[in-house]
Amino acid sequence: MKKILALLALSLSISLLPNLASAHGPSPQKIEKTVTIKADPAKVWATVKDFGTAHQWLPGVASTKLEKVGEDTFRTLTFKSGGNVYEKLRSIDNDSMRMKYEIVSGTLPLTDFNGSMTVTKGPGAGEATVTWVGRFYRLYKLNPPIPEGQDDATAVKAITDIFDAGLANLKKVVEAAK
Amino acid sequence: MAKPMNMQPIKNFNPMASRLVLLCGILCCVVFSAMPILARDTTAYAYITNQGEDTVSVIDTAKNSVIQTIAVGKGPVGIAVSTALQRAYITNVESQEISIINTQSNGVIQTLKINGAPVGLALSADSNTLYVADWFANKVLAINTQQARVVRELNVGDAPAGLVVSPDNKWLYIANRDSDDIAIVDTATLSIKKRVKVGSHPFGLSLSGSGKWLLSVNVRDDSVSLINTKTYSQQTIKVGYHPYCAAITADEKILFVSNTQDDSVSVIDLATNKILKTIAVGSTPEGISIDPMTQRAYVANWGSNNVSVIDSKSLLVIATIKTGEKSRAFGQFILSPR
Repeated sequence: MKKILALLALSLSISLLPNLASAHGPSPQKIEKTVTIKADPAKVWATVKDFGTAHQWLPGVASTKLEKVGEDTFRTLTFKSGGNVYEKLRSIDNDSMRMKYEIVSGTLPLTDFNGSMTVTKGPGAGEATVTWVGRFYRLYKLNPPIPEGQDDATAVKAITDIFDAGLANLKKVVEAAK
Repeated sequence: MAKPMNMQPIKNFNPMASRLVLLCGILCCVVFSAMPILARDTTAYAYITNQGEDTVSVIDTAKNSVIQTIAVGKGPVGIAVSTALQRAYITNVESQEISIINTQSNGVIQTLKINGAPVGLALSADSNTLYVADWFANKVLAINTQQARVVRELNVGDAPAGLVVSPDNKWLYIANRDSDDIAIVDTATLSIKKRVKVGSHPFGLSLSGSGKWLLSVNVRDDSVSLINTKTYSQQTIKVGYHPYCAAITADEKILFVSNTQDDSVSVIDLATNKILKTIAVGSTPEGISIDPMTQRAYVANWGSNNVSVIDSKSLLVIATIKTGEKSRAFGQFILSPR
């Protein structure tokens, strides 16, 4: 009986999936974090825009695999804790020192992620400011009640943790490389 | 206003009468300027929903500054305004309700609980009916604005988003985001007459002033579908990355489209359907509406928490107005003075 119920539950959830495949929640989330690095902005930008070497400064990332598909550039970040994320490079603008990327798929508890990293001069002489911005939705796509681990707070925490640890270590790595 | 009789050449000039006219003129000025309602007679007001701080910013378009910030429900997204009723209607998708604002006092006078996820909304041309799209339940609700209650419901396509009503009040157009089509609904019977396929993920809708042109903004295709509402023939115009919303000038010559992931607005010449210009605005622009008095386009920037004002002649950003956290303003958000 239990088996039948489990099968029923599974088939029900599968039958619901096609309808949900493209939908997302109604309210996008935003995380914006900055760090000041004591280094030449051009040097910081060189690290930020290098799409294939994120593991060198992004904590928790074991490896970065870069791929070219036609004109497009993708990377797979494999996390030390297991899981991964497959990302597409959207643009690199050397004039405004801004790179844009998006998450195509992966194990992070969120969906429809678009991000950018921008390097600006200052605030002090010989300093650079890095601004990392992400826009995304929670994993759960329907009305409340929202299952644990699929809500806005979980998605926001996942990105906040990555951005905070990433920027702190980016600062450390770039400043140490002087 | 009475006809200006005294514009005729005065044949028998009477100094006493002219003094009386002057006195009347002065009195009128004094009396009228003391009435705040008349100050609103030539100025439009933009109502901007701020998702991240649960407020609505009210922009005086003559000054291009925020004159008031109104607390509403959680996660405000959609907006519809009525000059006839002096009301603004706000969908609060996270608290599942609609806030009704009196636009003369700029205070919330009523909150309607909606058993669903209200996102897009639009008023009928006569302001008698407020249509609300339920993003999750795939329904559109018809609310009687006098009674402030749901009177009818319609099952539509998947994830209904943008809504717009024809100026003759006969048709309601619904963008079914996840069905990739537009439902054309007869407002008399609230039944679907036709469904028109458009590009992938239609979100914002816009109608030209005459009702002839319907614009569907297709997020996943980076395009807009320009639909002739008489023949349903359509043309597709490529715009920027992940466009959300569109607005057309009163002369039906220029179309503005917000490109959320390019931080820009595409300007399209509707005579040729070619892009005239791509204008850099704030970060992640969403809602866009045109001030009927000045023909300036107002663009709500979700990412940079402000509104960009574009002059439709020079196609330059002439002002950037700080609003609230995560400005969305999804819908026709400018309250015309008349």
